[in-house]
Amino acid sequence: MANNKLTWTELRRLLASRAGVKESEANAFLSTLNEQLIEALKKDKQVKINGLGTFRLQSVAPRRSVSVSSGQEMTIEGYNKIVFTPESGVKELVINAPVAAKNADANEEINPLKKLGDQAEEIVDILADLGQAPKTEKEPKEEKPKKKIVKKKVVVKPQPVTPEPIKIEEPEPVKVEEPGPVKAEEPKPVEIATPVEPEKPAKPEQPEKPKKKYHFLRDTLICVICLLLLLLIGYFFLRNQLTSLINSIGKDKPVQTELVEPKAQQTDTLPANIEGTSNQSRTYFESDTVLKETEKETPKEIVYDNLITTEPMHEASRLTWMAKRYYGSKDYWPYLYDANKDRITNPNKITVGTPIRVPKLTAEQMDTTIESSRLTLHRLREEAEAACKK
Amino acid sequence: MLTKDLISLIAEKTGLSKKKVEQLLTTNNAILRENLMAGKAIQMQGLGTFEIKERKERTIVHPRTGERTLVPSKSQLVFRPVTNLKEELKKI
Repeated sequence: MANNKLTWTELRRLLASRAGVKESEANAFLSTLNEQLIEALKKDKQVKINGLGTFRLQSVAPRRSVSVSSGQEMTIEGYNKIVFTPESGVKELVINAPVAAKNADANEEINPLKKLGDQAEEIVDILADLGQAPKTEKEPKEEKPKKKIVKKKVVVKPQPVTPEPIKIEEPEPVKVEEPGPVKAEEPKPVEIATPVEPEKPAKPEQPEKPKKKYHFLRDTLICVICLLLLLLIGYFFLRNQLTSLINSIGKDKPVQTELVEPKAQQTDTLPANIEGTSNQSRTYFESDTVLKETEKETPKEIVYDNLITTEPMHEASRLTWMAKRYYGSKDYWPYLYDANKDRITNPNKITVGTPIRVPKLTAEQMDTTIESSRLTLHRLREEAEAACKK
Repeated sequence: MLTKDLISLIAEKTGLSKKKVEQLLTTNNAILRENLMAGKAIQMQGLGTFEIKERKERTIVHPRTGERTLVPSKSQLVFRPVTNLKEELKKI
């Protein structure tokens, strides 16, 4: 490294010979240059030298730290430091300096260019390696749209085919006919597209025609199977719903009377009761869809007999926070909403001062590993979230 | 402070003409640049050293796209002040 350093004396001699001055003069110049530079830095905090760069005095603010040995907090005092930023021209000159220096020993100026070229090639190689993954992804994207068109053609065919097998299984033929085609049409593009896509990227690399035909056949098969599955699922889902509907119609009236009673027992205000009852009466007179909604809910309606407390809503409180406080988890907030449905229209906008009943939840209700309680919680949450949007 | 001011200050102190100082300064800078280009470090007595530091190549990851790119190695001009000066300036 000794060779790689230009010392003070060398610099002095070089300067003297280049500028045509005495060495003593060069020495005087250089030392005063340094002196003045420091002085100027102290005074102005910044010195700019054309053809070289800028020296700046930068202050570092005091900061807090922890002593490594004792673990005590201590403050590191602020200080100043010199920052040198080279002029842009100088910076560029220097960027490839070591390369130039290494080559200067052997072949002066031709090699640096070659070396640069080599570096560029290496970088390109590495970038190519790194970039391979994204590139391959781009290719299949271009080919996807073609295959999607194929899918659409395929999708049209199975529609008339699918209702046949289902009709055989139907115990209630009237009701399934309506939703069957409707439900099947909606999910088709989504569900079919997903299983087929992952196979695509591999396929485009095999351009042979017979293989493609084979794939189309497989695609159509997959489509048909998916459709069948969807229809089956839809059918069973609907049947379940229908049975629950039928059950609920039978149970409706007794449940309602139950609902009103606890409300009266619990320390209620009058308007709340009126609202609750009016809501229920409304549902009966309105259209079928509303009826269905209430009928789904009513069989599982929960009666909150035991109350922990009744807490008035204050400004900074939320149902979720109350749930966290009383039940240990925010997840149970829908129960709070459910217990206070008659007072709360929108769980996000509860008027301050509204007394909130905090019901005592059974261990069963709190246990989300039990499926029924999980489902009721889910249902209540959906209700509450729907109420948020009102 | 700009170069002009520095030149006039030096001229005042050394008794040389401003022109001469300017010429000296430019040749000095030229020498520095040439030597730096040749990969040499330069020691300025009482001030510090100018040297070239090599920054190794590294891969960077784009935070949003997760894309990886290679930043090639490069050299940087670095100024390291003499410890005396460093300590002196700390306390200002």
